[in-house]
Amino acid sequence: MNQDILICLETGENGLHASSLELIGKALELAQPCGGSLYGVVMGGNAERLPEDLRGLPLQRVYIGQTCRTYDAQECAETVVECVRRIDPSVLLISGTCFGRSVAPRIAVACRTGLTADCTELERTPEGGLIQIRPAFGGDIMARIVTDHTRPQMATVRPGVMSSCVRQGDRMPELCALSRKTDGHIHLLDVQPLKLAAGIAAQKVLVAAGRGVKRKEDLVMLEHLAQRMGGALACSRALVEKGLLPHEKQIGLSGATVSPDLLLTCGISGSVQFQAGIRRAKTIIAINSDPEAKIFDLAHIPVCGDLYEIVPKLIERLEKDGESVEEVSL
Amino acid sequence: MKIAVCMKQVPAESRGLMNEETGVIVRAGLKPEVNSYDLSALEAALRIRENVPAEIHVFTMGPPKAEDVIRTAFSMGADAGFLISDPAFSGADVLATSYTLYRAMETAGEYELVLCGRQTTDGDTAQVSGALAQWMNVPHANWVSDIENVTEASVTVAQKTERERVRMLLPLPCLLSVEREGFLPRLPSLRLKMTAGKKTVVSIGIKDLSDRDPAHYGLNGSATRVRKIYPPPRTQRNPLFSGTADACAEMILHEVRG
Repeated sequence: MNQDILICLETGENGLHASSLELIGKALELAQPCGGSLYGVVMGGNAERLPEDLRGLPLQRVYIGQTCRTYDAQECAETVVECVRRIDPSVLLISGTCFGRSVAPRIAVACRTGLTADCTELERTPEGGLIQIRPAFGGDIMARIVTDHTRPQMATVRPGVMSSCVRQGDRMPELCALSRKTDGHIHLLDVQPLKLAAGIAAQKVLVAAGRGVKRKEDLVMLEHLAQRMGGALACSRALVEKGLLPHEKQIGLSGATVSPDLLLTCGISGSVQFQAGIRRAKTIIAINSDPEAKIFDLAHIPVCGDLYEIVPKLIERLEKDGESVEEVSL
Repeated sequence: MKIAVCMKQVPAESRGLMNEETGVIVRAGLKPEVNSYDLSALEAALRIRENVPAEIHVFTMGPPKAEDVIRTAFSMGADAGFLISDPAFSGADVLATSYTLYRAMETAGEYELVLCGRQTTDGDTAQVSGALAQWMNVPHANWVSDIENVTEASVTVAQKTERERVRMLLPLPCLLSVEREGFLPRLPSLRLKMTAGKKTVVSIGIKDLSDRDPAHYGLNGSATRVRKIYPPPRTQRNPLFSGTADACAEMILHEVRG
């Protein structure tokens, strides 16, 4: 039984996705305790630039399902399963992107194996066991999960949660073309790019509202503050579940990973699943009335106080300044 | 056409707390409710039925009290309801849960379309829909923001990924996992609520399934196992600032102005 790791890679117009580099980086660490090689499998993509995108990555071989259509999870899953059959890896890592989360469960069922989605940490035992760590029961409890008897041990990891792999040297992984065995059944009609400028993942300044914000009307005040600060409003899962804000505004493990220069959280307790979405934030200011709030563990500037008293004062002062702090270009 | 909708009962308050001394999850006072994302799946089915003749069958897997999910579904307009419940099913991970749903739905007939909500509020992972589609050997699409057209043979949908809006045609039978924003659920109707109590909920236990091997279900049928649960480790933090609201505001602004 080998200890190899297979990684599902994703590409786009700008080459290999950042999330793929993060998985490769993690896989390198996971290979330390028990050895094993790293392999990649990639679907679709630009055939001409793909080899260059792979240069310097610590992958033994990359399988390329050139003709696979990424919008057909059934077809893509079959390609990855073919790879699994050839390599028989101990571990299979997939990014928790829209694509990854569509394909991963199909692969897991096809292989009759275990899958833990949205892991916040991964560890490996000297015997090759993958410890899959993630928040459970809503987020204030951590779970260590194992896949005892089946292989590969599958895990998905959200983009932005792990750190990237640094390319080293010139070496090109072996490339191996995979043709799809059967045709998928989905017909593509058209694809349109979404306007992303307003998305919270692109923002440099964010004001995030949490459970401590009691009513929908209060969000107007926070939206105002965000604008005054030259940023946008976001929120934790609680407000999306309550229907106060749409899912696009959600920061966290099942929402967006954000990387603003400045994040101001208001009434957010800071569960593990929220924290997973803000690891890349440069400066975190947190306002919460509970001195024990977990967000204070992560905040550069922890402020214990009542947001309903502090926020109006912030707005008042910013308005008096007569300026918006740094008009941020998106 | 026959449409299956999968719906789950979840704790209303999505934060479970752990008693650190006993290691037991405290769920006291957490009233169960229908997973809000699944209401959108039912809403999607109801809208389809407004345009093409269809029967909507709701499936829920859970303990006996999960029957409330079916009652809610009836009050919104579902035609039939199935409670998949058996001690043998409990403790299931994605693999065992999706397998149970697959075998249970098999007992009720063939469905042209299976609809699921995006994810659950207690699990969050959005994996069961794809897993179920694989067991059923049908194509599927997640992140469906719009169902444009349904014919006897196909369904046209729009899907929103990180960067794109993708329109595609899936042949029937297929499975769709729908987004809440595209399918805001209707309120239950009083008239339907009154008849809901009289409708029969069909119970499905392990003995009703074509595969009755308990090793394939529940904790035994799961490939993953929770080895340990613990409160998240607290890390060293920066000194906590507290003071008057004015002082706090001033301090924050100092940072904001940079």
